[in-house]
Amino acid sequence: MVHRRHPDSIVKYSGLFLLLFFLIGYILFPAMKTVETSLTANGGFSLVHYQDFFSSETARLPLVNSILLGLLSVFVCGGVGISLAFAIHFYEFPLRSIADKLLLLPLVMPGIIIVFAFVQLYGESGMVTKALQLLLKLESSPFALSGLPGILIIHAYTQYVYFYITVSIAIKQMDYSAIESASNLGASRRRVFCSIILPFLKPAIIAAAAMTFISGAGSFTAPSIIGGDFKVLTTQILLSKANNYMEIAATQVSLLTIISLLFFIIFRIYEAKSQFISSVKGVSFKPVIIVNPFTRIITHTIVWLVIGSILLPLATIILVSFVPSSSWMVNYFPQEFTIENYTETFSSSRKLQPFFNSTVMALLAAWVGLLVAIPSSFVIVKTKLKAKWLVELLTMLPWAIPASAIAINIINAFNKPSIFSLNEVLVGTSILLPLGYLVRTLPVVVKTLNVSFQNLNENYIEASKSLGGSSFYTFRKITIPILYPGIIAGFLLIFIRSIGEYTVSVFLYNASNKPLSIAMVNGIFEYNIGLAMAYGTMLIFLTFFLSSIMNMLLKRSPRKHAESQL
Amino acid sequence: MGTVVLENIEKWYGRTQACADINLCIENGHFFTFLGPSGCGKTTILRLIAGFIHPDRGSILLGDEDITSLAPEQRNVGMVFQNYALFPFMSVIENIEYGLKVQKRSKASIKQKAERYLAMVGLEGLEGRAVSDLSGGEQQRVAFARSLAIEPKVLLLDEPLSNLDARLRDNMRAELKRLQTQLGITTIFVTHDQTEALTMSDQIAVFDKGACIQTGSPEEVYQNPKNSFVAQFIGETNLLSVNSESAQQSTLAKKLLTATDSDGMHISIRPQTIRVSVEPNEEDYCLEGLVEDKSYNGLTTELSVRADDILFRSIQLSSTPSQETILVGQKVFISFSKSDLHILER
Ligand SMILES: Nc1ncnc2c1ncn2[C@@H]1O[C@H](COP(=O)(O)OP(=O)(O)OP(=O)(O)O)[C@@H](O)[C@H]1O
Ligand SMILES: [Mg+2]
Repeated sequence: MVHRRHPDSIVKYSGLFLLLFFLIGYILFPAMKTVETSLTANGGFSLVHYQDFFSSETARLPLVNSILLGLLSVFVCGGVGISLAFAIHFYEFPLRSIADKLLLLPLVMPGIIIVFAFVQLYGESGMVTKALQLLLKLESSPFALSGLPGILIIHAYTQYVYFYITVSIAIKQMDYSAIESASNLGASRRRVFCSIILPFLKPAIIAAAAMTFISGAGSFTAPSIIGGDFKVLTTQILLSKANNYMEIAATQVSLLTIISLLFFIIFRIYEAKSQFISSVKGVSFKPVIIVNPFTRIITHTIVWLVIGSILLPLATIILVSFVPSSSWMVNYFPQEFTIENYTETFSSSRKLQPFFNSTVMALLAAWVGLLVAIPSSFVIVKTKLKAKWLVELLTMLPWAIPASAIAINIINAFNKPSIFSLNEVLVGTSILLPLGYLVRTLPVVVKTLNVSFQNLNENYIEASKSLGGSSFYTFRKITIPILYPGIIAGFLLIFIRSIGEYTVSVFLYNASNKPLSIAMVNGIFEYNIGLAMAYGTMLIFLTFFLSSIMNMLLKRSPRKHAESQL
Repeated sequence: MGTVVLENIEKWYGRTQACADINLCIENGHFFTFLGPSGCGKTTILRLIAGFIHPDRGSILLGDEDITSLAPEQRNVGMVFQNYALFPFMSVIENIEYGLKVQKRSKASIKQKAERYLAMVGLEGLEGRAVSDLSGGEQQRVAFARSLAIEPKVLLLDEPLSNLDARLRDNMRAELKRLQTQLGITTIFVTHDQTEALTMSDQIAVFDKGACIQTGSPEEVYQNPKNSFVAQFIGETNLLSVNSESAQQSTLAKKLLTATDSDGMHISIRPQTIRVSVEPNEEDYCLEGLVEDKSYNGLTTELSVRADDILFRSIQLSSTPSQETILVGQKVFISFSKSDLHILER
């Protein structure tokens, strides 16, 4: 028996080595560095930072608050997301596909924009708040969007999407014959729901709960802007960092990460337990008609109101971008409109700089991200290498680490020279922020690309070759066309998620690469609201335009990508 | 020109041997079937011929040329995959034109050829359809047209009919055979369905555990199975194990043993050669037995009769006069002649 040696095995293994070097160096090593920092005092190993943390009531409270915020977010978002998924996908719904697209908008809109839109509408001097006050002739504002309830409202608005997407997909994949046969066996509607429908949806609900918990407990944007006295770990981490207490910041980050991972694992185990193998290929699901006309009209009205309230904040941003900043000093409601916010932005290179900075950094993150994500997906889907699980674990890890933690990890890793920083100190340079963007978006992109690689059946390539196509011809005509929608979509995904990103930006930006989101916040705090909203409007249109392209591309590929977009 | 010769082919996957010293000659223009149970290495040999994998030992000849180390795209061997592998982002006609475009023909000749093969498989009018909008049978036809359009020297088919439902499978079987005869193209067909193999092939090769057990025409393989594996795999059979031990328990075995003058063997008797009657007769072998089961299959009726402590299965035309009157539990006689016994290699 003759063994044939692969001549390309050197290429293969050096490629794998480079990939692992990157993943370990920029994902695992930074996380380890943070843990190490939190366990170091006076140059030696010590638990003192943890002891300090747990012995101080004021230090402990934000931890409790973060967990509370995570759990409450799960309930609020679960309620909103599951109800919407049922209203639109379980029951007959007019204009379903439009409603569906509009409901996915919060997924791509930068969080910071939504928070400001809410403040403009429902804040203490927001337009809706003041309108109500005048209408009801009240002495003071009827409510103020702040503290835990305020944060929860914003979370409900931005994070229901996880539940909405996963449950919608599960509903569409439900086996209709199981429901029919249960009714046929005489089960009541309530019983059908509990014994048939719920078990079908349970894995999806649990998966969404895991994601919502992690993003809720690790949320930074809403707590930092409207949190007020409600302090959570993420805002405390920024304080520690600003005061240069890096050991304390590291301790807080480690705790937050451990909690996220813990919940992630618990949910995963629970999800695995509720997973079932559906026996045979069932009858595909058909939406149910709501028979009672009254219930039907009420349901549809509520859904359209919700959709309206999703569009309202975006419309507000666009509207306010045409209002002169100075007029807010004297008026609660816009009186005059102008395009001076835009002319001002476009005529000053200093004011245009943030837009330019964010674009460059998002592009950089997207290019390098693809360079990492393509080989990662290839290894995960198409090879049987032993290191495959490691690649998968490392690319999925940032998913369970909150954004603020990713930022702190990067600072801890690169404030001293190491082989991963090519022996340079990188803190203070402009490279860290795009790196942060990249790490944060890597899991989503790898998941999207995994679907593309799964579509690339080996038989297509063999068929092409047996028809006479050379390797290069096959690559051009078969491999690329199958992969390219996923690749472009992955690129756009990193770009969209990075260009308006706020949390990582707050931690990692410096004077020379100030991004758009930071410029927006600065604009607000300098009462230059018009300018901030002009930035916001540009961001909305750019994101909207790019995500439309992305969805068009993903629709062209045979398998559904929606699931992997989370 | 389309003759395929495999010489001493061996292929290992790690420690499993997928092909063990295969020697085959597939004549030009023949419809040649690889038949065998799952995992016996049929696909592996097909992929060796297509060039997707290379043998660890031995050589493959196509016509006069040694193609053992040639890349798949240089072999001019067409292959139809079990899942068709139609390119999902191309239309029907683009799929068929794919191989022709590779050959850098003129636009007009590509168009003309593609249309000819589209018509040949009966899909005129579906040129612009997306392949995902076709039925299983139509996808199948596109896959054939795509492989035939490059006018390959050999056509390889890996269980192409297994994804179709029974009715469609029968139609496609006939159509495939018609196409093959019309074009006279050397065809290697993989299946584990014996009916498919018997009805379509010029030659059959029966495989077991990576080895080729027997080759021959359908009649040869059916009537003279080389061993008990082939006898059982192709067609129904009554298999008797005859040796000094069984001769002590069974009078039939004793009789067979003395008649054939050997010390141990397997004997195969096809069910349709066993007659069942109410009265004894003068055949070479005639045994008394009890009917244990009877099943009516339309044209034929199958009886299971226990005689001499062996369960014999007999299949006769339902119209045979005695068949109707015989009932389960009845005492009957089974008989068969010497010429219906097949002595097998062990
Ligand atoms: N890529 C591979 N790696 C390892 N073992 C393989 C590989 N391909 C096939 N084998 C093994 O080689 C043997 C023959 O496989 P092959 O696919 O040729 O069988 P087959 O006759 O086509 O079976 P089926 O009728 O199920 O398609 C099997 O034991 C199989 O497990
Ligand atoms: Mg096979």
